Order: sequence, then C-alpha cells, then structure tokens
Amino acid sequence: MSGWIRWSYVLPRLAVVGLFLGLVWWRLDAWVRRGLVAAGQRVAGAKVEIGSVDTRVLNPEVRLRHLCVANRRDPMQNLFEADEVVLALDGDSLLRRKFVVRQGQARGLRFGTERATSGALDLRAEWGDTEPGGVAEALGQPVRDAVMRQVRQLGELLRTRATDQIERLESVRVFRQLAERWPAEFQRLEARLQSLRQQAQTLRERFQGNLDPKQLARHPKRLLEDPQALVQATAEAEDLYRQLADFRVEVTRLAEQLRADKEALQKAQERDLQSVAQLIPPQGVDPEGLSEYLLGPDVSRRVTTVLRWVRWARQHWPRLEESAPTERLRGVDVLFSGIRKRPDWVIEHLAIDGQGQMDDQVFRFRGTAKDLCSQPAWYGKPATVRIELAGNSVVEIEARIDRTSPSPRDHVVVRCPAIEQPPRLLGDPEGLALVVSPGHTRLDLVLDLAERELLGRLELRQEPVELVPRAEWLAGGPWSQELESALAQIRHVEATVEISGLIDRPRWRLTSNLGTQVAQAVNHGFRRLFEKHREELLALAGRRMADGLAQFDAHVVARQEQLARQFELTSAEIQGLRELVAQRTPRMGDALRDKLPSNLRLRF
Amino acid sequence: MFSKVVRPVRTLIEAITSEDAPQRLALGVALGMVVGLVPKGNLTAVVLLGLALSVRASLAAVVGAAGLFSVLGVWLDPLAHHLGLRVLTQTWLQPVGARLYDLPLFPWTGLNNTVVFGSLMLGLALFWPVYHLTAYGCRRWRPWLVDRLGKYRVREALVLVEAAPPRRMR
Repeated sequence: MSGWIRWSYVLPRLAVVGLFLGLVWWRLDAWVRRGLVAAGQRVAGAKVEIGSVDTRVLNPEVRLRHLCVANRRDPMQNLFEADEVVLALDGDSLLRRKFVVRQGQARGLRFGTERATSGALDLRAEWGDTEPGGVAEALGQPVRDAVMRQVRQLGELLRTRATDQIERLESVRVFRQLAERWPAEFQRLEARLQSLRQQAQTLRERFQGNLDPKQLARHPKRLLEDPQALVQATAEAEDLYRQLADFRVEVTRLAEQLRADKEALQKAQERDLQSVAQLIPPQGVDPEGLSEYLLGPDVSRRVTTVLRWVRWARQHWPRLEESAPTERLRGVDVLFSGIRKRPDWVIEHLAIDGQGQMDDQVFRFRGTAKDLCSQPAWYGKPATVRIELAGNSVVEIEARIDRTSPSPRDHVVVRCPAIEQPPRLLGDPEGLALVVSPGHTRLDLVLDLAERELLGRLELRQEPVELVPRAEWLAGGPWSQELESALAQIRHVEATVEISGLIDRPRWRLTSNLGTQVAQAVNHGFRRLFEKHREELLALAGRRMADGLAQFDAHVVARQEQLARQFELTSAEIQGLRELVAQRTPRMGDALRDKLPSNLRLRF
Repeated sequence: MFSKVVRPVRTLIEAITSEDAPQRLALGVALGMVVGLVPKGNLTAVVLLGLALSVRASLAAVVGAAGLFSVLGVWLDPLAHHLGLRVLTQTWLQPVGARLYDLPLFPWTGLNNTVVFGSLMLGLALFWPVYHLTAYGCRRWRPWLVDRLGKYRVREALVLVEAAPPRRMR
C-alpha cells in the first residue's frame, strides 16, 4: 500500500463526481420543483402543482410557471393560482440553509378558481381547525324587523278609520249589551202578561160555563155537581191575582234596573271620552332603529364581505410551526445558545397582481406583501399586505397579520375614496323606503382582531344626495308631504358602524344622520295626524253616543207604554174574574148548606 | 445480464482473497457502517460517502455495510438521539457550535440535529472496533476461504461465466 489516497482510483471517481454534478445541474429544476411541491403541500395541506420551474444557481433565482395550490377545505377549488412567480433568493442565506426572498413577484394571481381534479392529499388528514359558523348573513336583522313592524303599526293605526275605532269603545259595548237585553226583557214581560190574561180568560169561561146566572137561578143545586172543580177554579183565580201583584213589583224593580243601566252607560261614555282625550301617541320610530332599517342591508353586505375575506385569509394562513418534521431529518435540531432563531423561509418583498371577484364583479388588483415567513415568532415582524383594487371604484386594502405572539392579531384597513353608487332604494316599500339619488360614497373601514375578538369601525358618507320617500300606504297622504319636505333638507348621508363581538358572530351598532332626520319627520308627521285623528274620534264618539241614547230612550218609552196598556187590560181581566168569583161564592154556600144534615147547617 | 450479477460476487471474492484484503475490506466495512448509520439528505452523509469512495477501501464492502447499517440505523435512532442531545447541549460546546453554525454550508451538514450528530458519533466510536474485528476475521478465515475457492475453482468459473457471450434471443 503506497499511501492512503489511491490517485489512480480517485481520479476516475472525481470524474464520476463531475458527471454527478452535471446531472445535478441538468436535473436541478426537477428536484427544486419536487422540493417546492413537497414543502408547499406540507404548508397548504392540499395538492400543489407547478407547471415548470426555472432555477438559476449563480445568482439564485427560482421562476415558477402555472402554480396552483388546491384548497384543502374544498378540493375541487384552488386556494389560489398564479401565472408566474419569480423569487430572487439571497445566496448567503441559502448557504446557511435559509430561503430568504429579497424580491419576489407573483403575476396573474386568481383566488377560488375551479379545478378539474381533486386537490385533496389525504382524506384522513386532520387539520384540527374546524370551519367556524358563517358570518351572520343578516347583521342587525332583528332591529330592522322591529322597525318594519313599528312603521307598519303606525301606518295601520292611521289607516284605521275612526268608525272602526269607535266600535272598540266601552260605552259602545255597554250600549250594545243594553240594546240586546232590554227588548228581550220587555218581550218576556209582555209574554208573561199575555199568559196571565189568557189564564184569566180561560178561568172566566170555566166559571161562566158552570155557573151561568140564569141556570144558577133555576137550578142552584147544580153548583154542587163538581165542588172540587169549583174550589180549584177559585184557588186559581186567587193565584192569578197574586201573580198580578208580583208582576207589579217586578215592573217597579225593572224601572230601577233601567235607571242603573242608563247610569252605567253614561259612566262608560264619560270614561271613553276621557280615555280618547288622553290618548298618547305611540313612541314613534327609534332613530337608531330607523338608520339600521334603512342603511342596515347595504352596510351589512359590505361589512359581511370584508369579514368573510378576513376569515377566509385567517383560515388559510399557513400554520407552519405546526407542520410535522420531515421524515428525512429525524431527531431534534438543537439551536446553539447565542444564535438568533431565524425562520426557515422569508419573503421580504413580494409584488403581486391578479384578479378577483366580489359580489359578482370582477376586479383587478395589485399590491405588495412583505415579511411573510415560516416562523413569525422568530422573525419578530408581522406580515403586511397592501392591495389596490381597480374596478368601478378604487379600493385600498392594508392588512397587518401579526403572528409573532401566540395569540394572532390582525389589523385591516379598507379605504374606498369614491364608490360609484347607482340610484338605490333603502328600506322596504311595504313599510318605508327612500330612493337615493346616484352619487359617490366614501368608505373607511378599520378592523382589529385579537384571536377571534373583533373591534372595528366603518364610516360611510355620500354627498350630495337627494332622497325621495316611497311607501305604498302613505302615497299621496299628508304624512308623505311631511316626509318629503323633511327629506329635502338632507344634503348628505353619513353612517358610522361600531363593530364588535367575534369574527363569526359579529355585533354592530349603526348610527346615521339619515335615521335621526327621517325619524324626526316621520314622528312629527305622525303626531300631527294622530291629533287630528283623536279629535275626529272624540266628535264621532260623542255623536254616536247621543244618537244611541236617544234611540234607546225612545225604544224603552215605547215598550213601557205598550207594557202599561197590556198590564191594564190584564189587570181588568183578573179584577173582573175576581168579582165574578166573589159574586158566585155565597150561592155556593147556600147550596152546600142545603145538602148538609140539619144538625150541621147551623155551623155554616 | 448474468455477468452483472456475477461481477460483484467475483469482485468480493477477489477482494477477500487478495494480499492486502483484510485492511481494504475492514476499511470498507467500517466506512460503510458510518455512512449507513448517519441519516441521509444532508451534507455530512454526502461527505462521508465521498470519503468512502475516495480511499483504498473495498467498494463492495462499503455498499454492503452501508445498506446493512442503514436498516440498523433506524432502530438505533433513539440511542443516537439521546447521545446527540447529551453532547449538543453541553455548555462548553455552545460557543463552538454557534460559531460553526454561522459558517456557510455548515447548516446543510445537519450536525446540529441530534440523530445526525449522535449517529455520527456512534459510527466514529465503532469505527476502530469494527475495522479491527473485520481485519481479524479476514486474516483468520482467509486461508481457509482461499483454499476452498481454489479447490472448487470458483474464481475461474466466475470469470468464465462473466466472459461468456450473452445468448441472443430468437
């Protein structure tokens, strides 16, 4: 052995190494592509596809074409795709196994595009993050519903005619009861009198049939043919007389009842007049509620859209520190003390441009993303994204995504200096609606998120503006004129929304000059109409009561007279019967005495 | 086709029966063991492989030992991890380690990884024992093996098989 190194052996192998390096050079793009796909899939949790990769080594740069990253929550959609991504890497950091992109560019970015094949990696993969409930579709919907009810109630109250309201008064109810009860009472009394008269007449016929005076003179003894019937008829005659006396007592009691009923009616009438006079107009429409009712749907849509995007971005923001260590590198990487922890990869500056879709409107955007990295806590700086949307209106979005601490914090600012607004309808024509003239609206939104807690403020302002009321139930009415004149004073509409709560259950409070001024006009007009309505009601109630009482009195008097006449007739009939019975009774005594034994006659 | 299977066997037999066989074979097994134990995919493994290919060692022994110890290495990972962790977290090593880690290319070696460092240490620690044991075994069994191979003319048979022209398929 002439030495440890065998040059004749080493040189051919160096040639092999050279060939190997050539192979590396040739296959570098494929390996980089494979490495990027593997790393991207670990981060995204779904398939990553790269059309082609162009790698430069001396001046390190990676150029990716047709990059598609699938959405792990919806594998048939891409999270995003890009036509081209160029990443200029820092060579010094690369030698230290850190991928630092000083300057990058992502062109032709598109979000949520459809995929032909599934982008799922492993159906069993568990990501731990569950899809939270959707952002409330109808922010402030309960308030809007309440205002809608209020407005409808006001309208219905004014639409209700005074004649209908009269029917609800207490005096009318009492009068209706009396008008039903007294005729029935009179009818009952008349029927009773009629019955007494008939009974008296029947009895008289029986007396006259059995005790005819001529027959009685000729044949006095026939009286005793049916003594029991005679006794019974006499008792019935006495009973009729007693019933007549009772009837007289009842008539006296009824007169007292009539007086009491008329007093009750008068008291009810007095109470009604008092209550109508003291009618308080309803509370009217709450200005804040009205603002919510009119502007809520429009503002809600804007806030919901922004919150959806924020939530979407949060859900898909990579959780790199949770990613599993690679199979190849087992064990633990020990960081020697004194070494500053640095993230595995950093994108210091990335210029982006592409297109997106919001509310069925396609828009182009461009902007920058800074300080994106794998371990933000080690990097110490939050990522910032600035995007400018160019569509019908210019929108500037600035987001600071801070993952440097365990609790994620985000700060989002959206500015729209002039959103082009077509003419639009605020509110619901079935309740109350306003037609807003076309113009430009300025929108400023600031959102702060700490974990899932939300705090934000949205400001909207449109100036100049013209408002025209539209409500089916007040068309052409005096209230409509009142509202029109009040709305003519409004030259600008501004709204402020204070947002709080949780990202998936946001709460808000909307205030606007529109609600205040419209509520003022609505409530003022309503009060005026209400006063007028009350006066009409009072007058109508008075008239209705006077007429009713007069009719009642006339009716009672007429029925009383009729009853008195019938009473006299019945009384005369019974009196006549009574006299007849009295006249015939002594003869009956004589006849009976003759039939008795002589020793008993003296006793009768 | 058949010669490709026969050639490594013939090479191994030549390596064992040659004059300086024990040293070359022992060096190949020891180096192959270190290469096999260290996890791949880092610069350390590449350097070790380059070294193994560059020295006067039996290639067949390097490949065979590397394959064998790659399988064993997975089982030895826990031991390597504990060993690596114990050493890498030593206070005296921190300044040196920090300085080395700050050098270009060093992070690619993976030497701050507990399993890489632990398995390297394990491999280095076992290097001389494995080398000497293999050399001793070769010296002890070589005459018997040479005698048997000569008696049965195995070497000549392998040469003839390898040199035979391949049969053409009709």
